[in-house]
Amino acid sequence: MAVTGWFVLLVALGVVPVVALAPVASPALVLVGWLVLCTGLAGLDLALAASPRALRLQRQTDARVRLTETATATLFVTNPSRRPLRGAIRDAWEPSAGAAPSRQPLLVPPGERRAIVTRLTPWRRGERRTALVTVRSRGPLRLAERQVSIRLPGTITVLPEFAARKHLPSRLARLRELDGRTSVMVRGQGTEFDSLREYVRGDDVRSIDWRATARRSGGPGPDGRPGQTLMVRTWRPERDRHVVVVVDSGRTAAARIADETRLDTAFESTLLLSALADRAGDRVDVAVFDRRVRGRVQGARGADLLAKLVETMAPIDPELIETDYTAVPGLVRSMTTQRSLVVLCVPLESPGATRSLLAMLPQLTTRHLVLVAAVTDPALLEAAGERDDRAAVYRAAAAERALLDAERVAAAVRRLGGDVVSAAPLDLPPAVADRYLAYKAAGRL
Amino acid sequence: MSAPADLNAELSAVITTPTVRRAVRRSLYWAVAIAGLLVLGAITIALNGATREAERWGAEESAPAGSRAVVEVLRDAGIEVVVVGRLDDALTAAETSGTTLFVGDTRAILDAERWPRLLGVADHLVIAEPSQPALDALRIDALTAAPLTEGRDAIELEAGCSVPAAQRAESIRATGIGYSTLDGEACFDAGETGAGLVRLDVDGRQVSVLGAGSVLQNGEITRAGNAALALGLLGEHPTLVWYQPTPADLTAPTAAELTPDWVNPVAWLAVLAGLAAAFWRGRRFGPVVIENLPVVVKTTETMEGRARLYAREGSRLRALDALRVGTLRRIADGLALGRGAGVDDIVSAVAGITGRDPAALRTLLIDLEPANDRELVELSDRLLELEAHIARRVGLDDLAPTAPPPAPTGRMDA
Repeated sequence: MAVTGWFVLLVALGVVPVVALAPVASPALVLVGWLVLCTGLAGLDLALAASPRALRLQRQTDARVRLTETATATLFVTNPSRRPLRGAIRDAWEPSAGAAPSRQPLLVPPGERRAIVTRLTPWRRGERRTALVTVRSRGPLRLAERQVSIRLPGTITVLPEFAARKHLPSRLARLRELDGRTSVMVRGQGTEFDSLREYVRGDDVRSIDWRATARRSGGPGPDGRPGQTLMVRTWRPERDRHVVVVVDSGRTAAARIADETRLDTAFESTLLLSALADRAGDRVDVAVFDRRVRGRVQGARGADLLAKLVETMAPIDPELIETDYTAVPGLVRSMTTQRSLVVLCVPLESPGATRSLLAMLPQLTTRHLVLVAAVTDPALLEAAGERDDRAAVYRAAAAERALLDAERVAAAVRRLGGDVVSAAPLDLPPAVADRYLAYKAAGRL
Repeated sequence: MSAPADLNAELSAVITTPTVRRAVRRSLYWAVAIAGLLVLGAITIALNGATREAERWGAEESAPAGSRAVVEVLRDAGIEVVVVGRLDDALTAAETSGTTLFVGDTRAILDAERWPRLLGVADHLVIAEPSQPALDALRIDALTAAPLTEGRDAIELEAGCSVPAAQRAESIRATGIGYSTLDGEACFDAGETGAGLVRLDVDGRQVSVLGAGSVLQNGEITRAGNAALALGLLGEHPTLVWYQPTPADLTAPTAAELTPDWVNPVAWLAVLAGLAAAFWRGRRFGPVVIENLPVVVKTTETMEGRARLYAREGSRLRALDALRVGTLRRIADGLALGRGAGVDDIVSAVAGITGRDPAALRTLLIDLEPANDRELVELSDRLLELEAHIARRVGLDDLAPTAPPPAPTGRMDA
């Protein structure tokens, strides 16, 4: 039960009879009498209030919502009793579900049903839950309320934001430009013959197909003279390549850089790369790994791929354990047998912390094209440029040292045959996508 | 993103708030247990009375400090003992002739105005261990001397006077306060500490100042001649008024008498209204929701820690070298010298671009060692200035790390 402000006011109003009746009655007796009256009225009010225990509750919640977007959670409250239910209701979502309003007034006439709509704007990825619904039913005198909590679980899956999807249209345009290109500058073993067409100014002269030109040169040209039509071969990037993304979800992935954990940045990069590679006709397999495989998406294509990816990534939080890099080659072997682009979303910080990563890397680079996508900390760059006083200079020196360490690790990765992309959190997904396009154009996949 | 889930089955809705009956049943054990403990405590207190402090010379007090023994013996001997707690009652009771008035002001309640009223009422006034202010107020010939003790023990005193009760007692063994007198008769005189009993004659009535007060107490009365003295002193007359001042003697009006009688109830009402308000505002709307939040790891901790280490150890050269390496790296990148470029290549390239002296550049970029923090800051500024100079020369705005816009991205695509 609970009391209302009116009850408090009623109790406080007892001062009037206590003082006014002082000449004719003992004030203590008047006080006791007033308190008895107050509690009696409150008890009567409680008895007259509609029973919240009799309520029938049903929940209808959106199954999933993308981070930063808003979903609705609806609660249907049926009042089967013969008294109107007045009061308030609270749907107890976890704080990070961003439920608003957290408590709402409730008025359900006898035998009717009302929908209580709560808007959820989660600020954290994963599965957000609610367990309890608390209902208060106020009596007709507005003095006291009956309160019960009803266990009615509900969940909503909060998917990764995929803020990097804004980079997708420009990258897809670049991808289309790669198709049907004649340039041989980027032609390599990975490109495939596409078609023949007439030469236009600007085409690389080395892509002229003389045999086809000779075949077409029988008839007269546009100006009546023969042999003026040159034919060029066009190329398109090879399709059906294999991209394997391994995301590190270990201890270091919990680090928060520029208000985003490394894991979230890795997820953003993975989503953008997957969307792009899928459109380019490549197969994408993704594994999230620390000491065991926390999530794996294999063999999905098209819209199904992204849906499966966000569904898999949603509940994964960084684990506070050291990632076992020695198991990564085995994991990659289990996902692909052909030569693939292996993208490792791991931190490249200090030589000591990455020793096991570097030790494992040759096993991958001998068979695959390895790209290490690492997040750099913009705070380090900022600190390196700030040298106003003595403390700032020492901080700048430490920042430079940290940058140097990262660079040394990147150089070590390159020496071992891998490739490195490192950028600030917001910049890493497009950088990885660009690198993928560069590989595609160069036919290195 | 919003495919609605199926309506949850109503079966999963379970009311977790217990009903009144269940709540009562659940808390019954504790309620009974607490009530039982309270009853047990009350019984214990009622049986032992352990918490009450024994009242000295209390007429009904059976503890060692009380005087029930002497009062009962006197009653058995046919003396009418009237126990009173107010001055007016004591004076009324003592008006009849043939009365002994015993006054034991253990709580120092009587003031200078009330002490004199005791004089001249009873045939024999016995005052137990009066304080010096009381003696001053009474204007009788006695002064407090010293505590009557021998070390920590009771002191043995011989009568040595003509007071009949003292003579019958012969010797007492007691503690209390010694008194000295000029004209009065001092009994049980211990010399410096004063006398255990002083007998005075005030306006024709007897006044006894009993310094050896412990002779009246239950615990001491059986020693030596204590009982004889106590009975002789108090049993002289057929009536004994046993007066111990109580707070009822304080006639000053209390706060309760000055205020209207509704003030207390109103105060109680305010307290209760406050409690109700606390319950109104403090009642939780259902239980607190618990959520497991992921850890937050700051990445700059390592950098800050290393900076503090440099600063504390004064590793100026190490710090400066880190800054120099960063500068060289940015210059090499900016001038497209490649990753393999050595320091000499960079120095000569920079000298070519800026027109500075190669030797001076080499000193700045490699050789100079800072002697103190001021030089370190200055060298750091010169490094920045060099970078800015090169950036101006080659038109690379993004070379200098201080260039504020755009925000540093740290993208290293090369």
